[in-house]
Amino acid sequence: MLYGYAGKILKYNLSSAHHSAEDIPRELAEKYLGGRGFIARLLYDMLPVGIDPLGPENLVIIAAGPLSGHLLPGSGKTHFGTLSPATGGYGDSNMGGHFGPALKYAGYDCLVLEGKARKLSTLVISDDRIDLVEDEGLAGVGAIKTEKLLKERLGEDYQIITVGPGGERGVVFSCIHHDFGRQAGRTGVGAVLGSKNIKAIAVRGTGSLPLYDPPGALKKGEEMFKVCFAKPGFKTWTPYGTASITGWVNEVGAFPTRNYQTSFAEFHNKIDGQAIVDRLLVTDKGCFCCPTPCGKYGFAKTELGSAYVEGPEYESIAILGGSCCLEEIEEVAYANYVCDELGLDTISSGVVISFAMECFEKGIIGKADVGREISFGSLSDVVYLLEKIAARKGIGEVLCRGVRHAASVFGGDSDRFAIHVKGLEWTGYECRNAPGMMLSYMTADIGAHHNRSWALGFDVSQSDADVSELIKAGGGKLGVSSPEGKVDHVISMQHSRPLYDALGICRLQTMEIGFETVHYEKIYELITGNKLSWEEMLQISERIWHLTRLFNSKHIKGFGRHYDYPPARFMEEPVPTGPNKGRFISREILDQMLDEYYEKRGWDNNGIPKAETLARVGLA
Amino acid sequence: MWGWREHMEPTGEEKLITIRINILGHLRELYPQLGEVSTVESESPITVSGIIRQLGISPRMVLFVTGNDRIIPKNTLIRGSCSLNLISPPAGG
Repeated sequence: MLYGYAGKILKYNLSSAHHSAEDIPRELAEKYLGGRGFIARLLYDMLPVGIDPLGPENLVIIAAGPLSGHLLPGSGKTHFGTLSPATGGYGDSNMGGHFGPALKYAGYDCLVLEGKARKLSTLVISDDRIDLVEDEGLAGVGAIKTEKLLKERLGEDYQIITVGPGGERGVVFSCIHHDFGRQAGRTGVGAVLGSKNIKAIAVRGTGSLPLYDPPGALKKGEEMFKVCFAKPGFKTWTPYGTASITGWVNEVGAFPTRNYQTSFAEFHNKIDGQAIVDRLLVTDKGCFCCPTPCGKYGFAKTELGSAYVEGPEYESIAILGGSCCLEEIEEVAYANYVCDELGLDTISSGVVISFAMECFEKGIIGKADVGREISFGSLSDVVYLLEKIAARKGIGEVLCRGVRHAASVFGGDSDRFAIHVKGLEWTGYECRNAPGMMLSYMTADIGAHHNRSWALGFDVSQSDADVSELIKAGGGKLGVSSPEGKVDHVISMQHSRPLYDALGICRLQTMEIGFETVHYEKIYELITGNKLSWEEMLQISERIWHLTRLFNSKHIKGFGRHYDYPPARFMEEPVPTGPNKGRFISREILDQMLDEYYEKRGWDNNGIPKAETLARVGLA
Repeated sequence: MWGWREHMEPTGEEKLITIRINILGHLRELYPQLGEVSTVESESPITVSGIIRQLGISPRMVLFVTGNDRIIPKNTLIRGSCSLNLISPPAGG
């Protein structure tokens, strides 16, 4: 018996409506833990090369971790994986909420969806009863509204994920929605689910999970909650959630503004965590077993309409607020709501839209292309473009394929400021004075995402200069934030951060209030019966990192070093304003960092893992 | 024991100010040598920024400082023994 796990992988073929429940091989659990680890291994083994990411051959894998669904802080995470339609490579994304625990209580750690349903359908799982319910009446219905309708139809005890109109129509940055405001936003997992004619999945689980030491696990779980509540940061973290960082990111000159033209927004205090509390907040909202609820559920009223919305989180503030220049928190929240209902990732949507705004400003595209004039700072223009994207009409047909594709269509020199890596749009940290964070984005397996390694703190901690010193130091140099030592730090974080995704738990308790990892070692042992140190778990995380790199080299034709560079803007254009005025990181320095990174990873000069490296980590 | 508000005006009685510092979150990854709790002693009033610098932490890495459930500006002059919490930026979700 695999203690801690539900023990089964449910494989559902949507074309034939047949399914099977297979035992989880012990070796899979021991070598990959669960969550992201299961997804990486199964995708690598099961996906044929050369398929269309939006075709029936692609898979959507949904996985919980060994700690998901158990009584310990932050055990509500669910992970989604696929061949990404945004990048053509490895794609995964995760969300909080309650879906993963419900899936485990129904008897499955992992759900693998194959094929394509005949008509738009909802997959309904109630323990061992599984039904594919056709319902074309849900076509075009918003993601939030669909969840509400299904809750009314099936009952509150179902946990439900949905896709919006964007996912139904193949917008490559479509997300999966859950719990009235949680999203697995990145890499287009919603588009692939939509391409399979799946509008929603509803899960109800009434079973229990086997524990190696039930009294010990219960006692330890209770202790872990008490430790969290006693942390001095507990009371200060919860009120503002992730939005609390907005002012700080501006202070250090890393806030993406006007499509990342600059890294400081004068209006940042109108869209920060305090603005949410003062002007939007209705209540805090947490996930399954969360002691530190970072979700902020609020009400936003704008000239275009009003809405209840969860968030905005920091990333949505940075991109919809900073990069698109929406200067009021109500506007950011409303745009966030429109993205959620249309089923679009706020990050990629905001980057694509701010890119279009800059192209319009520079005359690369005009009124005839867009259908109207557009400009930074206009909520009306943001919503107009979101609706065009979700409907794939007009300019939306170009923008719906992501910023890399849009630059190839618009031409001019627009690829210089199409802000992405590997085809995935950049998130909320401008890096022209943050070499560690830049390297983190460059080498993240899914593309330009921040949660694999958040090295901005390391960059800033090594810089004790005030703003005037930064400006005085001039552009093009790295006098303050040096690349030295950054590679080791980035590699270390790329093992520690994604480890939480393999265990199926939230990392915020550790990152924000200082919850010690030793607690996870102990409860993992009490739940599973396996004794692993944190260091041994990090070695598993390293194995997964090499596997996702292998996946990219297998599935992306011509994959290699050239996929690891940021856009030219970050290598050639000095930051024009703010604390980091004059700064950029040259390609020469990035090459030095990449060389060092590849060498320390055990990859060749083109960024492909060497045979001896694969043997060392157990992937030979 | 919390003391900055009580000690805004120096009493002339306290010879040595002892400040207990709780180091939280991402800061502990960046400065592991400091552990969870550190202590700074000062013979004269000292600003919050000065305390942070004495620990060898860049003040730019501290999102905000709290004590007694209140946010304490970094330029606040600490005149008496107290306990402070250094809160680091949310570290990438």
